[in-house]
Parts: sequence; structure tokens; C-alpha cells
Amino acid sequence: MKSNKFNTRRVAMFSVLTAIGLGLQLLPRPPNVEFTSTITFTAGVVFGSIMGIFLGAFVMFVNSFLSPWGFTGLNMPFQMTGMSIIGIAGGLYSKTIHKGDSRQSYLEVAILGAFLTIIYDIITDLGFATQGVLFTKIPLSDVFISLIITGALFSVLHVASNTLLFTSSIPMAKAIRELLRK
Amino acid sequence: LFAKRTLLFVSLGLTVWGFLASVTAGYYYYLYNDSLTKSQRPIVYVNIGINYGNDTSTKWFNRTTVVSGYTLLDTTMLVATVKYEVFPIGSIIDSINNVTNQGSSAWIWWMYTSYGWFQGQVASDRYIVGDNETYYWHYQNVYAWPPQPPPLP
Repeated sequence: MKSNKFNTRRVAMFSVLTAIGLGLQLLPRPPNVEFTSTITFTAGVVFGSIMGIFLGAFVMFVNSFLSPWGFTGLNMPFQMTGMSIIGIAGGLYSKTIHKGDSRQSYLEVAILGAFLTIIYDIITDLGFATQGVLFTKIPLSDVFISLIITGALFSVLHVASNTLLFTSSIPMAKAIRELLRK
Repeated sequence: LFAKRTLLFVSLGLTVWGFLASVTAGYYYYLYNDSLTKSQRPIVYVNIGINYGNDTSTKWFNRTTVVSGYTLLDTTMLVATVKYEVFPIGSIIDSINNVTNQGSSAWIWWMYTSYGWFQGQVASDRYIVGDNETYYWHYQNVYAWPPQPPPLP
């Protein structure tokens, strides 16, 4: 019975986290400022890589149809892949999380947030470049480099916002774990 | 001296810094070169096509004369009545010659290159027109992204 209660609690908490992630993703917001990466990473830290992948990919799947910016089209699998990597990273990080100096943990997740955002941006730029190649005769590498260069300021904004937002994953993960323990 | 873990995160941080510094430098280098090329003549000539959708024929304004430094929005306003809204990332076109954005139909601008039509990557008031360049305003369905390019001229 105790085990069932524990599982029910975990499922409920995961569902709430998914709903919050989805709601925030679909709300109108400044371009390239998003909370999905942080929530996906936190889900990975608390529930493990598999659940992190599920949350990230699911939010991006629904987002591709209901996003206020329109249907994301062929970029959907790239966005799902990028977000899944963030979920995996959350799961892996939880296994090596720093127990001692909590300031170090905040610094680590900030750096991880910046790094994972760059990986996500590169993957989604590759998605856009692939679409560009389908409609024009421009070589994939040219479109890809052009997208990375012309979107530089958006990347900087995305990385800066996620560097800050990822630091909230430490207290968020702690709070969720406390709630699950009760 | 340093723990492996510290070195790992320092390396990740340096990778982030290196990437951002490189793409930002690349972006400003691109802007500099583009501005330099486009400011070499006081007067430039551009071609503008406007297509109102529903397979209507394109109205062309060839060899439109503009002053160097004009944006695509400035240039379009010389040949059509344009209504737009200004946002921090640039202006969004509301209507051209009273054909207004509705539902998923909107005005998208394209530029002709040696590879075919290339969709504008910035707002039209952020793009400085170049000599002998060809632009195309297309009123089209943008629900599926990216939108279909116009037919070749």
C-alpha cells in the first residue's frame, strides 16, 4: 500500500510538472525566453533521465501544434530531440549532484544550462536548415552557418536567460523531493 | 591540483564563452560587411514584387530608385500603402494596399538570390536594401512553417 501511495504521488507530481511546463511553453512570452528547458532538467533530476526525456519531448510535441508562434512543422523532431537531451542531462546530473557546497551546485547547473541551451539551439538550427534545403538549392552547411550567425543575438538571449533559470532547478528539485518524501 | 569535476565544468563554461563570442563576432562582421557593401553608392535601384495571394498576378515595381541606407520597409512605402506595428525585434506588417493579415494569412518578404527565393530573416525595417536586389512581398498562409517560396520570376 505504501508503495502504491508513493507511486501515485510521484505520478501526480510528474503530471503537475508536465502541465506547468506545457502551460508556460504555450503562453505568449518574449522570443527565446522559455521555462521548458529548466522544467525538463528538473524532471530529469527528480524522476530520472527517462521521465525527463518524456516530459521534454511531450511538451515540444504539443507545442509544435499549439505554439503561439504557429505550427513548427518539420522542426518538431529536432525540438523534441534537443529537449530530450536536456532531460537526459538532468538524470545524469542527479547521479553526481554535489552534496557539500550548495553554491557549487548552483554554479554547475548555471553552466550546464548555458551549455545545454547551445546544444538545443544547434540542433534546432539544424532542423531549420534542413527545411531550408528542402525548399531551396542552398547547401545545408551554408544555411546552417547563416542561421547560426544571423540568430546570434537570439542565442545570446536564450543562453543568458537559461543560465539564470537553471539555477532555480536546485531549489525546485529539493522542494519536489521533500513533497514526495512526506 | 583541480578536481576532475571542476575541470569539466570550467571546460563547459569556456566552450559556452567561446561559442557565444564566435557567433557574436561573426554576426557583427556580417553586419559590417553588409553595411559597407551597401553604402558604396548614394542611389540604389531595386525591384519589388507584390503578390496579394489567391494566385493573383504579381505587381512589379522594377528599378525603383531609393537612397542608400533605405530599409525594405522604407522602399515598400514608396510603391504601396503600408500599415505596420513596431516591436522591439522590428516592425510587423499589418497590411499592404489594404490587404490585411487575417487568421494564418500574413505578409512575408522574400529576396531573390542565385539559389532562388530566400525568406527574409529579419523584419523589413531592419533590412537595408542593396543595389539591383529583388524583393517579393507575398500574402500567404503561414500556419505551416516555413512558408512555401514564391514561384521563380
